[in-house]
Parts: sequence; structure tokens; C-alpha cells
Amino acid sequence: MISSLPVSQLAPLDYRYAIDGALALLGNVRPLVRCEQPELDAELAQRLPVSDYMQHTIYPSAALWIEPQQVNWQQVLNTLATTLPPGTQLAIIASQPLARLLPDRQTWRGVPIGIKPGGITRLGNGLRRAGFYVQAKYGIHSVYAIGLNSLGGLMTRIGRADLRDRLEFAARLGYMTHGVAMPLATVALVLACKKATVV
Amino acid sequence: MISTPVKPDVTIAHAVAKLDAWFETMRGPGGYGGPVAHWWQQSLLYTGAGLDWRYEGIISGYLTLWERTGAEQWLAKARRAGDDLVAGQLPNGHFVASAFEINPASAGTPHEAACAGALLLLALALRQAKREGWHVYATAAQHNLEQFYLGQLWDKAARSFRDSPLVPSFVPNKAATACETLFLQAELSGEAHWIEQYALPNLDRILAHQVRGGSYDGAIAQNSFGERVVDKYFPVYIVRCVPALLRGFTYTRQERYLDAAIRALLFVLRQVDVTGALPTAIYANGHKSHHPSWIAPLGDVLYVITLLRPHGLILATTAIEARLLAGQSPTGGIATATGFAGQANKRPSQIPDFRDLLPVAGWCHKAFRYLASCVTGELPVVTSATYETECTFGGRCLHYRETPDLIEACNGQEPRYRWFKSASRPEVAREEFWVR
Repeated sequence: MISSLPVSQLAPLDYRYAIDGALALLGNVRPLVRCEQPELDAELAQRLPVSDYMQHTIYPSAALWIEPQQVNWQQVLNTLATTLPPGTQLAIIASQPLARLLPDRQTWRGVPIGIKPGGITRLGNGLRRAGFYVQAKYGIHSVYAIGLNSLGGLMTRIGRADLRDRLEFAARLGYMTHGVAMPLATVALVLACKKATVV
Repeated sequence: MISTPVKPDVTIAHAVAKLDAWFETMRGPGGYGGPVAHWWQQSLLYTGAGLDWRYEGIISGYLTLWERTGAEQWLAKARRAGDDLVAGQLPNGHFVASAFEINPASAGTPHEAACAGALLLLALALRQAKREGWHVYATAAQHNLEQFYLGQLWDKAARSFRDSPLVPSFVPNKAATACETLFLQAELSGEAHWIEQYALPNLDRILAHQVRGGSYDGAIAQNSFGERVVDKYFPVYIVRCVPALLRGFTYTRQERYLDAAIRALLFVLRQVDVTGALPTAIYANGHKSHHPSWIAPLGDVLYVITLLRPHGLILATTAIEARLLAGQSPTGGIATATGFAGQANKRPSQIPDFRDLLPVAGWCHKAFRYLASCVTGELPVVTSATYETECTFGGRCLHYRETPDLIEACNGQEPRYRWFKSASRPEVAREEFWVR
């Protein structure tokens, strides 16, 4: 149910940030949702009425694919490629290698495609082969933010809680990244669009 | 510290009428919505109704206006707000979207206690006026207190409320909000155990977090984990401890509660500068953060000053009140703060940050509760008008515009953020607005 998950049961900020960012990128259209990580189902239910994401609409104008898994990502991608009409935007949220450091996801099952080095590149290549072009890539929870937070921990230990707080605020401003630093974030958010003609 | 008490006048009546008009523009499905700017984090992408502490000031403010003017429209608005909470209560007692800056989520603290307290205020007012329907509000409040506060947050060993069911933590201002609600629950039910068993032990733990002596005398530490006290001091949170301490004094007649309340407020007022501004955070090492420095949240400081007047403490409000009223835009909303852009680097921009300008229902309710208490007669009829100015956000200079229907920030013709009021998500939110 919308907005009903207790604070103590929320998913790590990395994934909440990515889901909110993906929905912002997709605008106010109802996306077709494929979530391969059960631990994130509740976060989706926080944001979308159940009917929006459990039922596959016949002609979706946007799609959200969460945590593609190594075992079946190519089949799912092929299905999406044949289901989604040209011009449809597809947002993909995928854990990257640094996500292994997140304590909350230690117990999550499955092997996401992005968790191994090079996984997001393989996904990008697969998207192009399936008739999508990548419009944008974002790294969520950047290594810059991780570094600032670590430094903040050090500041607390030396009695500079004021500096710790300022580092925390700087980390929040740099939480999302683009470009070469993107693979060094815990989570990737990829926005792709279905081409008019499959090449 | 003695000064002219607040004079109910045309300016305040106009400000209250404008706030009421603005609150109307912020209503959507489920209640009062809108983006949130906060010290800890932002919620700019969830903009739907938030069933959080905004209902404390909204219901209290409208009840005060009803009491002062006798006009039924104010009671109707208080009841409508109460109905939002009742409709938004889950079977487990939580309220949906009660986590303010962490939304969307439920089980927000102190927000759910503030909601329950607002419902109890409403129930008490209706019962006293011999009106129908107060039971439904009382039942919802008690359900939340029993299921969440007593059922999940009560720490038997520490004899106080945790901030999370999973962590042995204590946050004095949040516990104080819960205590206020427990006093109201006892008043409504006639049952003393809400106070004796739960509220008073919490108040004693709040006292244990208060500094005695030195330049920080009266300050109340923000929180603790187990026995480890986090010695950071947030003036607007310290004042939120005062109403519960006063209730503790009234109930027990123990001077230590009144003494603690007075010391807390005096500590806060020693931090006020000539412009009426307060540092947002004060650290044990003497450093202070003025980035941001609150505007709308100052309503809680002013409210607490009025609470202490019957106890003989007549304190200056002029500068703080002037800062609060100067923050009101033609929309009727009151700006959140100044200096958000300097939060990390202490170098605020020349023009306001988007978050400075943003009027937030969860801050404006504090101003509304205080200002409504200064009203003595009918309010003028006003409307929420358009407000436009320049702002900065994410390294860009933007044009900020608020109308009764939307809030937007544009880079030239390009919208970077656009929220149509009543929508649960903004229509446009470019990357810089994803910030938490």
C-alpha cells in the first residue's frame, strides 16, 4: 500500500533514491514493472498502486526493470524488446560491485547482472542488441559520497561532529554521479529507449 | 529579557488568514501535501499528503481560531484534518506517509505521536462543546499510542520510548511529543497510568539529557544511543521539550520540571541574534551551524514563549516574530529558512536556495499554531497570490514561482522542477532535485 512501509523496514537509501529517480525520469506515466529482487517489492508498493506494477499493461509507454539477474537477464530483455512499443523508455536499476558493501543487502538472494565487474557494460551491449539506445546512466551512492562519509566518521572520533555533519551534507549533494565515476557507485540507474526499428 | 508582549493586530490577523488560504492550496487526496526541505534530508520527489506533525499545528490552530472567533468554518477545517488522519490510519495503528522528510513511509517519529495528539485535542474540544463524533478521533489516537508507542517503542529497561523499535535510542524532543500526547490521553480517558507509567519516566530521562551549568546551561542533547549521549544541541528541538515539561510540572507540581523548561527556553533565547535568527545546530566544541537558519519553524519557539508567560516568564518575541512574518510570501506560505546552500561549505549563495524559499506544510503549521493563538477577532478575507523570485539550486540560477496551483523552478524556459499541487509526485524533477 502507498506510503505504508514503516521507517525501520525501508530498503537502503541507494535503492530508494534510484527508484525515485527512475520514476522521475519516466515522468508521470504508469510503467510496466519487473522487479527481480523481492526485498524491493515493498518499496515499489510504497510508490505505485499495486495495479500499476503487477499487471502488465498491453501498451505500456514506460517500463522499470529492477535488479536484472545474471541467470535470466537476456531472456527478460528479449521479452521486453518484443513487448515494448518503439519510443518506450525503459529505466533499469542494477546493483554494482560496491553494493556488496551494503550491510542491508548481505542476505539478498540472487546474482544481479551488475554486481560483477563489467556487468553494466554487458547489460548496455545487450540493450543495444535488443533494439534500445541508452539515453543516460547515473551512479547512485557515489564513491565520492562513500569517501566523505568515511571521513565524517573519522571527524566524529576526533571530536569534530560539526565537520562530520558538513561532510554528510556534501556527501548527499554528491550522492548521484555521472560519467567515469558511475561504475564506482553502489547502484546504477540506466535509462534506455526502444528504437523505432530494431537493427 | 523583558519586552513588549505580542499585540494581536491587523498584521497577525492578515498573516493567519494568508496561511489559511495557503494551506487550502496544499490540500490534495488524503490531506495536506507538498515537498519537504529539512536539515537531515529532503523529500522533493514525494509530494503527496503527509500525515505527520503538520497536523499538530493545523488542528491546534484551527481549534484556536474556532475558540477565539466562534466561527464554525474553523471547526469544520479542524474536523476535516482529523478526518484525514482517521482515513489514513492503517490497521496496525500507523498513519500513512507519516515520515515527513523520509516519506514515503509510515511509523515516523515524533510525527505519529503529534498526529495522535492532534486527534486528542480535537476530541477534547468536541467533547467539551458537547458535539457529536469525538469518539472516532479518540479511538484512532489511542490505537496509535497502544500499537506503536506502547507496543513497539516502549523500552521497559530504559523506561522510555525508543526512536526505533530496532535500536536502543532516545530522542528527548520526540519523547516529549509522545509525553504531550499521553497527558492528553489521560485527560480524555481519566486514566492516570498514561502519565504515571509512561510520561513521567520519559520526562525524567529528558532531564538527564539537560546540561546544568556553564554556557550551555539548559541545553538538551539531541539524542542518545544506550548510555552514549550525542552532545549536539538543536534549538528548535529543545523548545519542543518544553510543553511536555510544563505538563509534568502542572501534574506533579515538582519544580524540577518547570525549572528545566525555563532553563531550556533561556538557553535557546541566548542563541537568538538581533535579526531573530537562531543557529540550527550547536556542537559541544562550540561550533554552530547557521546554514540553514529556520524561519517557519520559529513558530515553535514563539509558541513556547507564550506557554511560559503564565509561569511569570515574560520574554522578548519581537525579533523572532519579525523574522517569521517577514518570511511570509504573497502565497501565504512561510519560507523554510535562509542559508541552505551553505549547509556543507558554510558559504551560502547571494540569492536564496530553492529549499530556503520552499514553504513546507510541516514547518508552516508551527507558525500557524502560534499566530492563531494571537488572534482575537474575525480574520480578513484574503487569497493566496502568486510569488516569483530568483533562486539557486544544484549550481544553477533558477526562477522560482509559486501559484495556488503549482511550485516550479525554471532555468530560462526549461522547467527543472514542477509540482502541481495535489499531485503525489512532481511532473518534472531533474536530477538535482533527486537530492535527499
